[in-house]
Amino acid sequence: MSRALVEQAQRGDRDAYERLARAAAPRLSLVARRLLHDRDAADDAVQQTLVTMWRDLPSLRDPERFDAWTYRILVRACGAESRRERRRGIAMVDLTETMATLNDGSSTISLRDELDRAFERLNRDQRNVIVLHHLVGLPLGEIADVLGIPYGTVGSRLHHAMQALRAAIDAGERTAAARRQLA
Amino acid sequence: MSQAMDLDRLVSEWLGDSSGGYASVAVVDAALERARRTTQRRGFAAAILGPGSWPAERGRFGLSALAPVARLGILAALLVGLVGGMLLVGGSRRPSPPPTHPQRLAFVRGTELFVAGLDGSDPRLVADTRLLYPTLSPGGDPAACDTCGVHAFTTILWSPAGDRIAAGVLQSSVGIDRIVVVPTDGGQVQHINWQARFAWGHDDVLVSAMWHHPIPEGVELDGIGRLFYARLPIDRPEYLDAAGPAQDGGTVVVLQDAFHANGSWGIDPSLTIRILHVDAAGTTVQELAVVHGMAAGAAISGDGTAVALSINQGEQPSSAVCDGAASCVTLITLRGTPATCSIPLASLAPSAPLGDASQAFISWSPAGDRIALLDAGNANAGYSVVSDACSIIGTTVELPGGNTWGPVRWTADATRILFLWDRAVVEVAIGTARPVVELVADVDTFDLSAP
Repeated sequence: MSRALVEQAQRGDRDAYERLARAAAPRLSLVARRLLHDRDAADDAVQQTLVTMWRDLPSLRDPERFDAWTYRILVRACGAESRRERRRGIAMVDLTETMATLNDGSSTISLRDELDRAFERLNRDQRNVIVLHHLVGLPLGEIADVLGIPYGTVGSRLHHAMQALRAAIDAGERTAAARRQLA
Repeated sequence: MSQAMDLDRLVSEWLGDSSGGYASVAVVDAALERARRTTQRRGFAAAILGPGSWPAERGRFGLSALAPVARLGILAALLVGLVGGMLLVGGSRRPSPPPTHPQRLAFVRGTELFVAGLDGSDPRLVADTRLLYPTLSPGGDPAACDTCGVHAFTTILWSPAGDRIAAGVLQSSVGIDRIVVVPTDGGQVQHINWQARFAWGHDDVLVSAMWHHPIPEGVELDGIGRLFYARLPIDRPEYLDAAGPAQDGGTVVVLQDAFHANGSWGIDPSLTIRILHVDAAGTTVQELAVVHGMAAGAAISGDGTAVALSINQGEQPSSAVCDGAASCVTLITLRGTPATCSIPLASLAPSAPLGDASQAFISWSPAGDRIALLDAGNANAGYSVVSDACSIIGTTVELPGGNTWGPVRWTADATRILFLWDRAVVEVAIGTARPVVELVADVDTFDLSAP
């Protein structure tokens, strides 16, 4: 992301902002869909993020960290969407990815299935850390800044989340092994 | 390649699968249209209503750390105070209370481990992971491994004698894989290898276990890891929530179902918490008690005779646990026939009920007669002190927003506790809270007056 472009947008240049927004939308969308697992809610969160991005750009102290800053806004927007969905009592399941996974014909179907289910069971804080670390590739210190939490907290959440994922995979493998033995 | 690395890669690949597609052009266009009708926040409006500059220049105790509503409230209070101050003349100043016990504080700041006075004074660097592991780049990142994560201290614990600090070193995303023992007098640092793939337990439990089960120097910690992983009768995904010494030299272990039966992040009262006793040889395992609910936190008393559980049962609580309340602190006595008593957490902080979080940190007082509970997920962090007779003897402190995560440490005289709030160590006396050290990641105390 061009520093000059960010600085122009910070000064109120709407053309610069729109270029930034269009460039950022795909990566924000990917993260939002992982965090929320519901297309409509994810799109709403991305939309809100892009608007907030424009409104609060002057508060970004270091233009070099524009990307991390947008993830910070996105995580908050996803949290708001999640709370809104919970209040509505809506539990929507996006079947697109599930069907794509089922149709890929690979031997990793059950593993991905386990990961899908395990990821769904993680709480929002843990999902945030996993996605920012393993999808976006942010180091732990950067995640701490993005989420506004201590470094150790990031480590703890990542640790527990990975433990949960591993426990799910191990349990699946144990079940499969037991079935093989019975057969 | 290790199992941990495989899982890291597997998760990254799975998350990166974009088969779900991206936001449509229409979504982006709609956002841009909304932005065109929005003006940027600048100046006074940004200071009062905005999110605060980012990245922040200092810790989260400034005005920008507060919610806009709180900032407006403070502004109004300042105006009222200004007027009131003009009407009042003079005043009195209370002298600062004298220091109580000669305790020391160990805390982590990034990759550095410090020792300081209990009030954060006279900090002294005792170890730095960048110096311990010279293969790291100056920035602290591994030189040739982009998926290994960052080396940093996590979870620190004073040795019983106060002459050493055990510190877990976080290398990969799966948790501690190395423990260093740092002498506080500047002596040689001891490195102990830890196989992360066996680390089922909470980081703090692992390090605590090391001190509870002293091992000959030079022996790797693999034994402790295998003890909890291989010898416990784990037949489904379970966490190791807590572990501590039993009276007979064995270990008391608290295990928790890893997932909820209903497949969502609602708390399910059918979840099982198992309290086990493992004998000193690690060969015999006995189930002491089974409790239902989600253990948001667990702690075993120093003498191994009681377990404190922070239990959350969600919106449909079972009447058998917490007396029908959604969340409670349950104290389970392990002497003879297990007995329990419960304290509904909602009664502690009516404005922001504790216990709704996924994680709570519990710590027994030095005398083992009280516990401190830190609720780690609420917007308002708080603590409560309760007696083992299940009556509340303290009050709840609600901090103005922010995040809290990590262990609670008692001062030796049991009048105050220390915990992390955002990036500060916060000292709490009954009803008050103040930052002691800012920008830290973990904290532990040691009482110089202890025998």
